[in-house]
Amino acid sequence: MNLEQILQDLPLDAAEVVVEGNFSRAFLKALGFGDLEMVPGFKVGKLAVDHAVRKNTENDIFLHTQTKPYLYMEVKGRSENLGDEHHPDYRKAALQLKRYLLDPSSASVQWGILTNSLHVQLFRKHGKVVHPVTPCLPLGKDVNRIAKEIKQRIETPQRALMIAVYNNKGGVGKTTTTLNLAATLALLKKRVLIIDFDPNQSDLSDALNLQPLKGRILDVLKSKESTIREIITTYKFEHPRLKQPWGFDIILADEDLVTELSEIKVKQQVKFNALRRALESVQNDYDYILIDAPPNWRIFAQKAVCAADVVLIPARHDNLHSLQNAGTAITQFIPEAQAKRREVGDSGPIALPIFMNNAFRPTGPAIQLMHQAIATIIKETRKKTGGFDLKPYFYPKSRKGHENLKMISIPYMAYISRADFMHMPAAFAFKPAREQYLNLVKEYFL
Amino acid sequence: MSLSDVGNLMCLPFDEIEPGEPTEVHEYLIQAAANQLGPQGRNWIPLVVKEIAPDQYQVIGNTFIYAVAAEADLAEVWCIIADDAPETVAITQALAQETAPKTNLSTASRSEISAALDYLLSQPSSPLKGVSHASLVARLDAAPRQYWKNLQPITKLGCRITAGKKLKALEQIFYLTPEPMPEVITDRQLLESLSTQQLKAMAQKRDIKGLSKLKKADLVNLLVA
Repeated sequence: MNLEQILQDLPLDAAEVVVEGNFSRAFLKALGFGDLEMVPGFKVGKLAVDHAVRKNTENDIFLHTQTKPYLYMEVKGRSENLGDEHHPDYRKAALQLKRYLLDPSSASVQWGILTNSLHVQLFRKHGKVVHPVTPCLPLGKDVNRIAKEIKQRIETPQRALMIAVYNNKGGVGKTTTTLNLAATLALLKKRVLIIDFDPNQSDLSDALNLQPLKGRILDVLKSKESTIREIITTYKFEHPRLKQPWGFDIILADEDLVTELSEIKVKQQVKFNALRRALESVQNDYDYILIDAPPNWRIFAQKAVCAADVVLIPARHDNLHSLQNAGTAITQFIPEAQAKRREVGDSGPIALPIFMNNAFRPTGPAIQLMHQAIATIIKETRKKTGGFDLKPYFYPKSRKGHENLKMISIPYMAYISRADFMHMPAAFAFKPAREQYLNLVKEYFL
Repeated sequence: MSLSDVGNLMCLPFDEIEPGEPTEVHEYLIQAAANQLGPQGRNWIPLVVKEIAPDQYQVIGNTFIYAVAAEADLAEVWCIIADDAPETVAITQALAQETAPKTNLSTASRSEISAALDYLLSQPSSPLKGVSHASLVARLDAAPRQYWKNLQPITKLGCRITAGKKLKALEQIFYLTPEPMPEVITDRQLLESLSTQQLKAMAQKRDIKGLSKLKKADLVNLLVA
């Protein structure tokens, strides 16, 4: 029976078991999985996810071995609202799926699907990051087209996670963060590309003592061919005691994009998703692509955020504006970028929890002041936006019934600024700095 | 129906209950709570007790409430009867926050180690002053801790932790269930944590000759290959 017919025959208020029995198996089949490739009620730690699937290989039948699942599907009843991303039903279901995906026993899983047969949404897992790939897509007549689209996405997975490092406020350490994250990930044998997308400052290029490009980024962004490989430079950190140099790839800033005039030119000539499209041709060469965005919500920052899967927002605890601006980015700018990306069928970037850069030791009145300020920001935002909850972005470790005000942070370290003067990433040069960034990388990405 | 009282909520005469480990909270908290309770008051949060003899009980959890009941001269106290397995005592005290639960450092994940150390460092008079959380987590996570027989090797990680007060503090949160050392070790980090003498003995077992002049680094390189 075809999917459309199955959907029509489902009762209007079909309960979870009915959706599971009639619809979700058929949907998984439409994604290209056979009967022997699905396990219902697959055990994940102490819990069980509704479906786990994986392609069989010759002598490894998933239904028999039940090892190395590839995709999880969580099914809900039709009465649960999965069409609105701010609805508590949706948030609860998405969190549940996320929990399954991040369970230590789910290392091999790369995708998650959430559906109640009225809506469906595809999530991708990259290390510790789970981000939506598609918006909540309404099913119905479109079900075959949507199944085909999802099938295509899971059959051609992209390797890299695209991260924009952005805060509307300047001076919070975006460039330092980008650089040291790249260095730390490179030390962990990940392949990393960083993009200096701040032509006004080109700090990133400068921090490594590399000369900026002259006018080539615009060509790449304008061109429909994938010419981006031509402007990638490799940065190598050499030291007599290292057998092999450490390093990562970098696309340097473009000097020619600095003038006021060029901003208008860029706007006229470069489409919003040009950067993402340009990066598409290299995204299977890297594990992580980090984009260092400029402050302010202007053309370059917009393009950087629009290109990303996730946005990492550094802030400073002693700067009220950096906290407020972080909040604005999450409630206003990132949704703008999402709306733009939805035009081409993607979900768009999500914000990762805010992290505190240059934080002092967690004692004293300064910290208390910060928590008070954050409480105000959370409250005001909730009032202004009709219920948008910023709390998980500031306090990712807080749980129901457990107020945990721990924030992910990089402490103030003389090493980090000293390395800057030496034109090298602190994570390469100094072990204590490396361990701090390792901590950050493990909290967020690995 | 079972005749056992285990799991029941019961109102017991106060003089049938022996105190367990005494509580260390400030006397003000006990006195003020006792005043609020009054002599006829009901302790809405029950004591957790185990039966040690017929009509004889001993407190295993919520010791604070015992102290309050004594201060308020309660004749009867509401109690939950628990069994007397050692695990029950341990989990009760952990739930009542009377002891900090311990983490198995031999098998703990990075995030478990991180949380445990964070707890210890956040204690007001923590002896771990000056220790960098991120460094200690990174180095502990990378260390061959599944073979450690005690916490001593932590002092060699270069995290400003010396045997004494600081190591004692770590004993509050960590315990170990060591695995036996493998017969043939090729893991560089593990080899580096051993003494030159141990390395030589190991090399001798593998019939490698000409050891006498080798330094530790050479020995490690030999054994890794």
